[in-house]
This record gives sequence, structure tokens and C-alpha cells, in this order.
Amino acid sequence: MNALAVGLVKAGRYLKAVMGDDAYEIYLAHHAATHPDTPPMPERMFWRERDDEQDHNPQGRCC
Amino acid sequence: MSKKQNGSHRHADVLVTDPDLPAVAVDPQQAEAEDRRWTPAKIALWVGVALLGGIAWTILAIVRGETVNAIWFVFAAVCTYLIAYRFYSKFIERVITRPDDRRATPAEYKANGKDYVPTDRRVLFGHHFAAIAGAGPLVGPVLAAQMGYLPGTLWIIVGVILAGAVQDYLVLFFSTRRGGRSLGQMARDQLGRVGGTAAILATLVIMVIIVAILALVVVNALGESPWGVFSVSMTIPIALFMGVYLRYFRPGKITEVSLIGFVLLMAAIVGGGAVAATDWGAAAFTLDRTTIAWGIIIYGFIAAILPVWLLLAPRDYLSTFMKIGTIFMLAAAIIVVRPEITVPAFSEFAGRDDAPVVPGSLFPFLFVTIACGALSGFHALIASGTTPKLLEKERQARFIGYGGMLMESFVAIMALVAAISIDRGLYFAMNISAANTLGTVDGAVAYVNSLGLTGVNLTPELLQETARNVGEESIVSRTGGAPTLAVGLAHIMQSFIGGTGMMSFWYHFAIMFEALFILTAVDAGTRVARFMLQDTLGNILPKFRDASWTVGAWICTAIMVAAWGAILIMGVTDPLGGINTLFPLFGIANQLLAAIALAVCLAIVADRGYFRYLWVVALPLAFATVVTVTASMYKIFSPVPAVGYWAQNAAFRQALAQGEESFGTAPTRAAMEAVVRNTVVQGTLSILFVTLTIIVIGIAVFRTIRAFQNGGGVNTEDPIVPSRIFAAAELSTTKAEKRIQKQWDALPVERRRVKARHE
Repeated sequence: MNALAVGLVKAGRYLKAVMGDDAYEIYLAHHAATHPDTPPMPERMFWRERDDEQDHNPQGRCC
Repeated sequence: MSKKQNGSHRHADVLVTDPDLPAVAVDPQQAEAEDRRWTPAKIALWVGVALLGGIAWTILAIVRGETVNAIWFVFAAVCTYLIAYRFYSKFIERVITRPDDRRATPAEYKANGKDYVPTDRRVLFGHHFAAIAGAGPLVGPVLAAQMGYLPGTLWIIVGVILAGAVQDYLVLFFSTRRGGRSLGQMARDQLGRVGGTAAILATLVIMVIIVAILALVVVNALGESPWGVFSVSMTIPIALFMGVYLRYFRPGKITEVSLIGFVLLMAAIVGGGAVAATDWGAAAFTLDRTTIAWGIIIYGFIAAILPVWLLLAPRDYLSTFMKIGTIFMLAAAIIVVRPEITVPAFSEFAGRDDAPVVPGSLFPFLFVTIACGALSGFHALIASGTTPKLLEKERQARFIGYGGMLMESFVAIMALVAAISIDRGLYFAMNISAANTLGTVDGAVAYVNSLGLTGVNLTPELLQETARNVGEESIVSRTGGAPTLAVGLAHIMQSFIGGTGMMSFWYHFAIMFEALFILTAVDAGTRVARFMLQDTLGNILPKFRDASWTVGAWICTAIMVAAWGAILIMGVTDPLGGINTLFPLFGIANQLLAAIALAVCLAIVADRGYFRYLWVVALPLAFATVVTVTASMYKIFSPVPAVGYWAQNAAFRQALAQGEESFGTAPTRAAMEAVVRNTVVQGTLSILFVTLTIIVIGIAVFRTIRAFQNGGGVNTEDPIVPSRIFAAAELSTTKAEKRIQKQWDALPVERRRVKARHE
């Protein structure tokens, strides 16, 4: 039972990573590593900026 | 930066990694030793895989009993993939790509926490797969099933290991070595201005045709189907809701909103059945194909100019979510249900050129009918540009590129199995155009039975009963492949979950996910094409380069939508049936793009000086070139009207000149004039494609020969940056990798990901 729960949690985490839920965490980690002296973007602003960036760099989707 | 290099020159000599960090790569000798150590267990495993694969192929190709169980398709495919991945892709890695994990990838040295991010290989596999796989592998194999199951199965499996996966892997790797540059930019660097421009132009035209024909598949699936129209239209409000939810309510909760969207989607499918059963629902949502086509065109324009967060991104999330789910579901269903297949290995049409679903002889038309799943040039656009920016280590390119394409091929095999699990008479009744079946049950029965196919005795009852079971008015002439796959899937799924009562749900579920994949590709394709056009026009009028200039964006969007919209309308109103005349163009376009991508790879491999192993690229390139050029030549020069666009054009023009009132399947003079117009467009596109491609391939071959004479060429790789991170290369972690990973895990957190270099 325990193994099943662990498996489900792992699958959930994997799904979230594939869908891109962890983009802000990734950004925070990157920011902390490269510009530790400046405050990172707040979460809402990050997602908004990410949306707007996608406007100009559309990702192809194949057939 | 470019410098002369010869074959023996290795970057390895000049690469110095940080001595204060643990190793950033497994020692190549150690990795090789581990690879070459054949323990008895390992030998037994591979002998087992080879035996099982061999038995499966024997049953499919040689024994060929009255019926064959679907599970053998799964075994034949999976065992062959495993062997190809373990041995052939590793061979390519050893002799051509020669990855060096001590080199940083663009994801590392350009890391910006946004689009350049070193991403866990398993997550990236999911990303990459979601980006490359769509409706293509679900459609082509269905149409090719007219020739029997064996030609399609062989091409999908052999094609992917020698061509499709090789292309994806090489493009991904070479783009990674070039800062994640796009295929177009690589073509310009490698082939010069003329070759580069031809490649970009070809890409643009090919994208237009691909979007148009994908849209045609959706239109054909939704025509006269109130249930389908209702549930697929509901994806628009659902996506809008998801967009607003993510933007204003809970930013970043992508999985959460996708789950909500998925539940709403299921409700839309169930609700669609209820709505279509009411009088007003049937009246409001029964639309003819031309209306639906216009709907998609208008929708495509609006979707491309709206901000992405509102419609495009949420729909993409939903599509990705469905993609992962449905593929597992399809695999599980086929493995659990294991349907018996009664379709012959080679059908009557395998040796003829008048097959009714898509006309033309097996060679070359089988190889263009099935593009996605075996060899898909479109992938080169994802494998360059998008995925390289996320690739953590060079050695992972094999798992992502080659492995990802094997996965898509497996999807194609499953689609083929689903399509051939239905009655053969039913298959032809659904896939032969209304021009021949007259769109009626009686017409379809008469036409299909007149084909003289062994074992086929189609009854009106079967057609009516199947239509009733899947909740449609009629299933006659539902061309395009999607409805056939949906019937096949419903057929398999109902014996897995729900019984006959659930068939209509499964049918519309399948239509829904195919429509979702395609509309996502249409949205994204239009947008990408718009930016390409803006960029191209920017060479002449610099103002077009300015992405914030709304008028320019609208003009370019309108041009792209008009281009694919015109072809879509042409296909929908085509008196000859539409999909059967246009689908070959789709496959040809896709594989010409593959030929362009492989040509660029050929030039790169030649410039690196690896001539002994040039055949790894030259073989699929030669095959793709021969297939597509031959197919194009048939389409341009064949005197058989069903095959050659210009022959068709001449036949109809002559009939018009002689004052005929109807000709072939065109009942009126207006329809005959439409055929004349359509064939001119199709024929001209064929000529344009093949000319551009021959230019690109010709230049690539010329450059390759020149490189051979000089013993190598210009190195177009980006300068070497030493890597400061470590990650395993494959799905599973080897012993050596675990040892290194332990050392990294022992480091204080702030030293594991050291500062990335900033420009």
C-alpha cells in the first residue's frame, strides 16, 4: 500500500513537471544561483511574463 | 566561430572541466567497458527479446493464418524498437554524434531559468513527445490499411529505426551543438544563402499544406455529426475558462486546471450525446462540411491573434494532458483485449494503383501515406529550436530524440491495429469518398461489394447498426482516417470498459482527442508560420520584424490563414472526394521536409569528416528523396487521372471543351470547373515542393562532395563551454553514473548548480 502511495505521488510529480507546473520553482532556483543579491520576480508577475513571452515565441506542435 | 577541422581532430583535447567539482561525465572508457560487459543475465535478456521479436515477425509475415492476434503487432514492434535502440542508436552515437558530456549544452550555458533550462531527461522526454506526436500517426496508418496490414507495419517499424528516429536524433544533437538553432538557420549556415532560403521557403509552404490537410481531417470527422460538433466546439469555452483561471485566479496551477478541463471535456462529450438527441440540438449542430471549414478558418485567425494565455496555451495543456492519457489507454486496451485481426497481410490493392482510399501504387505511395510514425520531417522543427534548449547533457539526446520517435512509431502501430480490428467492408465503406458511395448506405454496400474483395460481404445492417452504436446518423464515407480510428477504438474499448452501450462515448472520445490534437497543431502552426512570414518579409520591409506592430502581425496571420484556408475549402468542396486527392500531398510535404533536414545533417556529418559512416544519413536521405521525388513525379506526370494532377486536369478540361454536362464523379459543369481549378493548385504545389527540395538536396550533396575532397569542412558548431553539471544519460541510471551522482549529492546545495555564464 505504501509503495503504491509513493508511486502515485511520484507519478503526480512527474505529470506536473511535464505539464510545466514547476516553472516558477525552476526560475527561483536559477535566480538564486545567478543573481542572489536581487529579489526574484513575484510569482504572479513571473507567470504573466511567461505568458507574454510565449506570445512572441510560439512553440511548434507537430502533427 | 568557424575553423577548418579534419576527421581526426577531437575537441576532447582542449576541454578542461572544473577540477574542484566531481566528474561532469562518465569516463568514456568506463562507459564503454560497462556496455561491452556481457553478463549471462544480460545475454539471456537480449536473446529473449530477439526471440520474441522473431516469433512475432514470423507470425505476422510468414505464418499469416486466417486471423492474427493483435498482441503480435505489439511484440514485433516493441522488441524491434528495443534492439534498434540498444544497438543501432548506440552505433550512431559512437560513430557520428560522438557526444561529450564534458561540454555544456545550451540549456546549461545559456540558462535563463525560462526557455533555456537544463531539464530532467524523463520530463524532457514527456515534453518532446507531447510536442512531436499528434494526430498524424493516428491518421496515416489507418489510410494505408487499405493495402493490408503488413506493408504499413513493416514501413512503420523499419522506417522509424533507420530513418525517422535517426533524423530526430541527429537534428536534436546537431542543433544542441549549435546553441539550439532552428533548422532554417542551420540550413543557412551549412548550405549557404540559396540553400538556406530554399529550405525556409519550403518549410513555410509545407507548414501551410500540413495545417490545411489536418484541418480537413477534422472537418470530415465533424461533418453532419451534431454530437461531434457540439463537443468539439465546447473545447473553446473550456479553454477560455482555463485561460482566465490560470491568468487571474491560480497562476501556475497547470495540472490542476488541466484536470478541471479534462472533467469538463468528459462532460462535453456526454452532454453532446444528450444535445444531439434533442430536436433543437440536432438542428443547431448538424452542420455541413463547408460551414465547419469556414468555422475553423475564422477560429484559426482569431486564435492566432488573441494572446496565447487566453486560448492557445490552455488548449495546448489540455491536449498534452489528453495525449499522455489516451496513449496509455490505447496501449492498455490493446494489450488487455488483444483483438483478432482478419485483414489479410497484403490486400488486393497492394499490387495495383487504383486503391479506393488513397490512389497510387504501393511504391511510392505507401511511404507517403504513412509519414508520421515512420519518418516525419515536421519533427525537425521541434528537435531544433525547442527541445535543445532544455537538454541537460549531450548524451541524453539519444534517449530523447531516438527514443521519443520510437514512442511515436508505437502510437502509429496501435492506430493501425485499432483500424484493422474492424470489419474490412466497414473500413472501405467509411473510407471511400462520397463521390463513389454516393454517401448512402445502399450506395456504399453496392460499391464496396463490387470491389470483389475476398471475405468481404458488407450488409446494410452492419453499417446501420455500427452507426447507431456510435451515435451517428451515418458512417458512410467518413473519410480522413479519424472516424475509422474512432470506430476501431470504440470497438476495442467497449470490450475493455462499458460494453456496447459505451461505444458511442468511446467513439466521440476518440473524435474529441483527435480534433483537440489537430486544432492545437492548427493554432500553433498558424502562429509559427506567421512569425516565419514576418521574419521573411522583414528582409524586404524591416517594419515586419517588429513583433509589437499589430497591423503587421494581423496581415501576416491573415495571409497564412488565407493560404491554408483556401486549400481546406478546396479539399472540402472537391468533387473528387478531397482527402484522397490531398492526403498524398500531406505525406509528400512532410517527407520532403524530412529530406531537407537529413540533407542538412548529411552536410554536417561530411563537414565533420566522418565519411566512413556517412551512409547512416545517406541511406534514409536517399530513400526519402527517391520516395518523395517519385511520388511527386507521379503526381505531376502520371497519365492516370486518379494519380496525376495534371492528367486529371487535362481530362476535365477536355470534357468541358467537348461540352459535357458531367464527367467522372463531378455531376455538374461547375463541379468540373472546380476540379480543373483544384488540380492546377495541387499540381503547382507539387512542382514547387519538389523543386525547392531538389535545390536543397543538390546543394547538400555538392557540399558533401566538396567536403570529401577536402577531408572535412567548416565547423559550424558553437564554441566549447565546459560543463559544470552532471546527469545520467538514459531512462535508467548505470552503476558508474550512480557513483558520480553520489559525489554530487554530497556537495553543499549551492555548489551543485554553479553559476551559469551570462552574456
